[in-house]
Amino acid sequence: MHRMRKYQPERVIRRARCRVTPPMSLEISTSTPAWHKGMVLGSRITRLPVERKNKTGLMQTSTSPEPNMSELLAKIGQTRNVELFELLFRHFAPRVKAYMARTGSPGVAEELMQETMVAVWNKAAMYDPSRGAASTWIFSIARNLRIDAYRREKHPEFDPEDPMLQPEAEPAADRRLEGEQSAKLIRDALTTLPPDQAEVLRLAFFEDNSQSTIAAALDLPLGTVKSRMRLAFAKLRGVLGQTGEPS
Amino acid sequence: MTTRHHLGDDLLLSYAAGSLAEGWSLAVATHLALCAECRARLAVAEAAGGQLLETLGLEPATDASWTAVRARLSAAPKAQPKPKAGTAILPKPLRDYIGGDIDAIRWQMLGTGAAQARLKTGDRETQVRLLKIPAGQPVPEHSHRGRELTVVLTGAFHDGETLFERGDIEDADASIQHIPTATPDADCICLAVTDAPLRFRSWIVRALQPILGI
Repeated sequence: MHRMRKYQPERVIRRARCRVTPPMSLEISTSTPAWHKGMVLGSRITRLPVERKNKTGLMQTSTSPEPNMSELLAKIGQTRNVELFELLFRHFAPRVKAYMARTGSPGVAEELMQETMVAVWNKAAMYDPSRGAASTWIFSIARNLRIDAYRREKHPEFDPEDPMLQPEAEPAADRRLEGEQSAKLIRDALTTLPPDQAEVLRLAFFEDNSQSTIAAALDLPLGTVKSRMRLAFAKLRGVLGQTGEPS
Repeated sequence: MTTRHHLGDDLLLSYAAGSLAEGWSLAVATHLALCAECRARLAVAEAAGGQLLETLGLEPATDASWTAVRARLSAAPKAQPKPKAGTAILPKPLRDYIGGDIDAIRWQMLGTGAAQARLKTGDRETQVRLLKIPAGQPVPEHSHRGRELTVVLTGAFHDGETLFERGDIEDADASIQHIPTATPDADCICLAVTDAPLRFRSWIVRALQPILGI
């Protein structure tokens, strides 16, 4: 963290926190990233023609230039292979930097991107693909570093290894989705959200805006922002077979 | 035991997005540690964050970026301290804020048998404290201007007809007139997060605040 402190990002950030990006691209891109189209989610999930192992030992198809990122990250955790990590870096570093640049200057974004990717390397052994996709895991690391750098706050989290954690009921075998598989379903659901719902999601996730800031920026009542978030979330949970909001 | 009062979708999404202040997030995380159902819902919200990350416009990461990161990679994984298997009552991350489990809380008596212990966070938006309410007693000094999140840690309380037990979270706004009362069987310890009270810049006004009741 010390390395980024020297940028003294507060001034940039104060400005950034009050700003809401104008709703320029309301809908989420409907195009699937190229690497995903031919992705093999473990052979039992999708069967695609022409599977082969490349020199990294990861499953690839002839149509896919990039390997399954979750499989790649898990392998990095096991092998500490720097070559594999470079593949992951080339995919995620531009995205993480773009995420950081939404609320900070390019210099700060670059430094925070590097912090994030070094943390990904250091913690890779803790990554469990059955809990979520690589993108989910990397997002949460980037988010926590952003909060720490821009707001000087922590993002308190439960510890999955805490012995007193209330245990989960074991999901039925056919209901248990691998991280990549559920990520795919969520990706598809995001592309079909109504633009007004997609917009509040983006504002919340990328611009570090509280609900009341979003409401003020869009000139909407707070209740409308909350209900759009609920509707969007209900749809995402619906595609994974989760039922309505408990209360 | 299963929790019956859960996190609302908007609270959970804001937590996953990282746009919730630290104090509120601590209440959310404490509930999550005690509720597997909400953890499953959090996984969906964070997966949405991951997928949104995938759709972001790209900021080119240059070879220089890779070289810089490459130089910072250590060969051996950082040893992650294993949590001590034990019989903690409070979940992480709350133990980190207290500096220990329930017996490490430094209670400050409130005069009516109740006690509180403030917890420090990095945000200026919330006020976070642990409250101990004696069995059968109402929550003391209970007024809040804005939102209040309460998570039950031990014991239970009634708010009107509704029972809140360990892990349950109550999300109340200023419009709700409520008198939470501990159940008669045991003291109730809960985590209470409220909007921070108004901070006046003048020390004279601050000194008079308790007298003026503001």
